[in-house]
Amino acid sequence: MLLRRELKIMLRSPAGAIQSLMFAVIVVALFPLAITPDPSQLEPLGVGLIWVVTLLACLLAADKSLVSDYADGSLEQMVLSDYPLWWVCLVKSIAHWVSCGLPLLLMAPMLAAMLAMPSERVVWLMASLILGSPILSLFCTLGAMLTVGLNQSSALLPILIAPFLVPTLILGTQWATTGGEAFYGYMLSALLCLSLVTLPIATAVVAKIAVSR
Amino acid sequence: MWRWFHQWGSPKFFYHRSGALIPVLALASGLILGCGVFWGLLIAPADYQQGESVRIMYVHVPAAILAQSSYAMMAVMALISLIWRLKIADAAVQTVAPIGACITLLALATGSLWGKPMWGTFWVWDARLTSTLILFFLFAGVLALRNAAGQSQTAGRAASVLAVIGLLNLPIIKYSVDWWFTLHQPASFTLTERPAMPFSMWGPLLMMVVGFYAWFFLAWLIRLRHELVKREIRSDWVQQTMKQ
Repeated sequence: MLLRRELKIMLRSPAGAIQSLMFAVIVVALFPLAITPDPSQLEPLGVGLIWVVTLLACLLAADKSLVSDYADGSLEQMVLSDYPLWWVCLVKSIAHWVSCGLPLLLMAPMLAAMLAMPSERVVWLMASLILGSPILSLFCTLGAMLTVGLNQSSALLPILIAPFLVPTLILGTQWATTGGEAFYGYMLSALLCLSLVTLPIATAVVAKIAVSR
Repeated sequence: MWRWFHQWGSPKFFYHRSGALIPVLALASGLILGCGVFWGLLIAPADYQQGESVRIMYVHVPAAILAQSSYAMMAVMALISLIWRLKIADAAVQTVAPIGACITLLALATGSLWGKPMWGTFWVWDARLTSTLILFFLFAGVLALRNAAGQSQTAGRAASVLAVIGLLNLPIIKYSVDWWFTLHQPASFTLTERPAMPFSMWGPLLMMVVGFYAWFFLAWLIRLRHELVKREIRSDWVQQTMKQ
């Protein structure tokens, strides 16, 4: 029910998803212009750049759906409803991932081509993004819930959440650049499981604070 | 026993009783820091490898130790304020955050000043430097959230949740940075494998650590008492105390 509502809202106004995609493409296009068009110099940068751009795009899109839900009161209704609150928060994270993480994941091969990445590394980049981008979405929902309803500048959410994304970024990029060294893969999967179990609960605690504001 | 604890949770009781601690802490931190500075900067021997610049250690190491433990203290206070809704714990979180951020910044600044003569550069992406930098960002996040959310009680609870999540994440961040570092950097220079220090060096170091802690609690206490008065300005006990 809840999930269907979120997905419907998203499908009816796909502008948000398209905007974060465009953001990623434009930022990646800026790097060859700023550094060098030489493929041999771009190639070692590729994995890290695409990961950072994905992270930024996720942070940028983090509070879109929550802000409107907060403004029209539906967030409050969801907190008051029969649904367990952690499930509401998990659905919000899933919606964020479908509207932001998934399109970026599908776009990754194109971004990799722009940065002259060899194709076997693209596979590992995709694999690391499959495991990593849900963690980004879970943390972004937490950050959006922390900042919703505040008189804030747009930089507040990235300041709060970016330090927490450091382990994901490190494990993801290392896994992709080492060509799938098992240790990083296991650790990234462990981090995903841990975030999946704990973060919706933490977000639920914050949601109660947010609606009482 | 429990009664004794509960009393300290009351702002009025805390304010009246903690006043006596200020001169004690002020005297202790002044004396210990003074002696530590004198011993460390003037008497202690220069290092045979690092020369005089080893003396930065007497400021840098205490600051780095205090930076980490002040975050832990803040997060424990945050947990207490979330679970038991103690007003005083919330005020403690708010007042310790800027001190902790400054200490972390001091650790980073002295570290980079020490790095210049030793490593030839102000900044190296070493595992410990990186995790201290992230610790600073975590402090900055708590401060920024508190600033944006204003003075309300819900603002305090949001910042407390963030502090607790930060504490739970610190080990994960630390380990991931360690793994990243071991892969990236050959061990060209490490701080960890220092020859064992003689007493003439760790003596003043220990003294400085104790002095830093005393100063930290002094600064925290003064800020906390000020904050309590500000929050309870309308209550009877503040009015009466201020009249005296």
